[in-house]
Amino acid sequence: MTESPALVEHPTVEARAVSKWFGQKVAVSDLSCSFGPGITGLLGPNGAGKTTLLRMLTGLLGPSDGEVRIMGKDPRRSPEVYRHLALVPEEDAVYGFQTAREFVAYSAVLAGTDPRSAEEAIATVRLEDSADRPISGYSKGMRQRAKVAAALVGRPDLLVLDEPLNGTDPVQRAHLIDTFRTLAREGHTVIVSSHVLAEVERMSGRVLAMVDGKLAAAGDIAAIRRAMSHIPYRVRIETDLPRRMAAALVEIDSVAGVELDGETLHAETTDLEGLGRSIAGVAARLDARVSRFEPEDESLESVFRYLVRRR
Amino acid sequence: MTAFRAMIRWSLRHILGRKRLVGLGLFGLVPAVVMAVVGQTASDASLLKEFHAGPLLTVLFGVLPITTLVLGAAALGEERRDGTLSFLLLRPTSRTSIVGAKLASVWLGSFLIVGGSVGLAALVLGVRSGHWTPFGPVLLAMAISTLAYAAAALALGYLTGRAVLIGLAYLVILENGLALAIDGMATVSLMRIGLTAYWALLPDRTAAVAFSEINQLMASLAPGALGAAAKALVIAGLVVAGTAWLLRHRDVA
Amino acid sequence: MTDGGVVFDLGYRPHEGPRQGRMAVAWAVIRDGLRRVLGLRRRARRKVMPWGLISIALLPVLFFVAIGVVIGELAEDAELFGHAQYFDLTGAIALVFIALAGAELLVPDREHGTLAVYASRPLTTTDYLGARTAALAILVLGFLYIPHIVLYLGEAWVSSEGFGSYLGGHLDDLWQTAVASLAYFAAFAPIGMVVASVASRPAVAAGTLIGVVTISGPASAGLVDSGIDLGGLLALQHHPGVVKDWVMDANTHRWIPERAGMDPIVSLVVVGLVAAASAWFVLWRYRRLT
Repeated sequence: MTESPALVEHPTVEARAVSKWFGQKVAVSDLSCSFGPGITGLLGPNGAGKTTLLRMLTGLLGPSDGEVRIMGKDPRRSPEVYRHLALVPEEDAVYGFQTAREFVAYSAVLAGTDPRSAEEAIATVRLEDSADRPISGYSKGMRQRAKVAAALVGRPDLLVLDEPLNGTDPVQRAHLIDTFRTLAREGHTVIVSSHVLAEVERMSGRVLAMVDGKLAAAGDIAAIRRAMSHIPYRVRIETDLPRRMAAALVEIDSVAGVELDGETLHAETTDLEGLGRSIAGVAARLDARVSRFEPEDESLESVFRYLVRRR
Repeated sequence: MTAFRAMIRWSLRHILGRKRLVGLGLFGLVPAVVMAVVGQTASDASLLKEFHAGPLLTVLFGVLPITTLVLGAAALGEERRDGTLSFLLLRPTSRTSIVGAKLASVWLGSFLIVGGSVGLAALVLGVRSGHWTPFGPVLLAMAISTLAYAAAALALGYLTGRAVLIGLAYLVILENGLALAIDGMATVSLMRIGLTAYWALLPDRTAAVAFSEINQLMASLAPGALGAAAKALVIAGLVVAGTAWLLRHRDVA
Repeated sequence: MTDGGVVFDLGYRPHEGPRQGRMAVAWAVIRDGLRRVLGLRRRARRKVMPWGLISIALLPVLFFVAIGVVIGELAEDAELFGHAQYFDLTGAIALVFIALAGAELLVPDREHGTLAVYASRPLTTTDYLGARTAALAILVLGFLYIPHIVLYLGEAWVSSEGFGSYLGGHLDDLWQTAVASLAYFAAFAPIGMVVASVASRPAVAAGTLIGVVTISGPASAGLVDSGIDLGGLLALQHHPGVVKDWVMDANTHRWIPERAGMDPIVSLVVVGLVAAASAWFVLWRYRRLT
């Protein structure tokens, strides 16, 4: 059992007290975390240091302090580590003059695998129809898929994706998410950095949130929310007697405030479970009907907003 | 196809896109065109002199440095600035083989233009006048000078976005200026490395004619083909080792 | 003290002051051009190349004059430091400077897509190109002419005629070196602009300009030496030297057009025609782009 949700047992990738500064600017500050099989979402506002962390994890940047290990090895000293690692960067790191088929086959040759495996990777991202056109003529979403195919062709144990869903339409997005989930189920380690919180929430139960170069939260989304006990939960209650219900709720100690919005109440409470147990008794006493009782801020977006607002 | 050969292949395609190939190709045709035009009016006897006074100098001071600088600066430099260098670095390929493949592609691509340029001019010389002795030696000399220039341009292109300008400043100020004015400066001239090989490989009579036209370029340098090849290989080796070290230790933005 | 409170509107407000005219807009583009080429308000790395070239052009004459002022006379046998001869040094380096400046002024706006930003402002294509050319002219003419001002003042300082008398009595040196500087600018800068208007990257623009001008020398020499005198027209690098020697009544070099038996007026006409054709091409190219 690890001592922190930021760390996993049997990690594939570890960052141990890594920091990175560029002149006077500190991009990542004393950050320790690890990643193992499954999908981990890496979140943070612009400038939080996510891309810097990912580039350190993949060896493109050397940490100013601390160390990074992939399968126990320093990626900057052991290029053979790249047999097990693939990065899909956010920027357009593709050769425009190549077709997708050539690009993916080139990636296969460099990874030491059979170039014919490119066909399987291209099929995985559903790029077969356009695979023989130059990438310079592709849309943003198609370029993303070409990059993902080039990453998958080496059958990496560790897949790092920086904003992989940028420019993709909803159908392509859903298909890519399924692909990443399948890889995770097969025991691969997948790290996804994204601003599209709803998609990250769909993909991964475990998240690492960064703010201002530091790790702000780590672990399961619901557990992170529970750990923010100083921020009252916001609960939505729909009832046929909103005013009487509001008056009754205010008398409960753990309820910090109630807001009325037509027939809907928004209550703030420091004890979500306690309120959940009490609401049935209160409704029975008032002879009121409660049609909905739902926490409004257990979503990743709410958690993320609280984390960012703290700074 | 091995990774090394694949890198050479795609590097060549990258640095010699259609526009560059056509532009540099046309550029490289100038010496042969000059030779052909000169050959219409000059006598067979004087053609050998004309070849060394005109087309060869055009290649040495124009086609060779410009071609190698443009291609060499693009090989790693453009990849770094376009973001595709990370694609190569994130593969299980040693940094030395990446740099080696890049140098090989720059050398091959440059020699295609430079060797083609001087070879075509020497071909015209041979056809017009029957003087075939410069043909082989000049190709070998250009191969050696191209290697030295390509290595320097590759390293410079990786280090700075102004590699071509710095190289051109070197061409104008050092190759074209200081090396002519100050004897000792000829030893740091990359272009003259190949010339010393050319001088050593030419038969004596041809060399006497050739170097009556271009002897001011040689200053105190002595002829020597093996020495020239060794110099170029040492420069290439140092560049490959040094640039690979930088790739291992420098951040890729 | 007054009662009550006030809330200030901190939101966006449009500009309500006077709008400046075309000249102000053009001057802003010129200033931007000067900063870009000289690396001003940019990282130190961007200053190395331009200021390095300026130093190579200026420092020799500065040292020469400084030593002469200290010892009370300028060395008479220092051939390089005659006005006509010094252009042989600065003219060659000016070619590299123009390659740098031309590429910096025109290529990045197309490379990064900011040409559309200029096009959406009250700035015509002619104004934009005129401002860029003006910036190039200020830089290149300064690069070529300032060393001669330094030399002129140095000569005046140590002259036995007296400082003021020398200044007044040798005004010919001033206008002749100015005309010669203009000749070098007119010979190289328009070609640099043409190349920069089509190249996709600054490095390609620089390489193409220097390649074309440099290769023209040996190629035309070969043609002229084999009896094809018209080949002398192709000696792009030599025409400004011919004009300079003509204006300054000097003979610093055996220029290829002279070897071809051409009068200096031919070089002047070639420079003028190439400049005019280049200007037409660049204008046509940018009108298509914008």
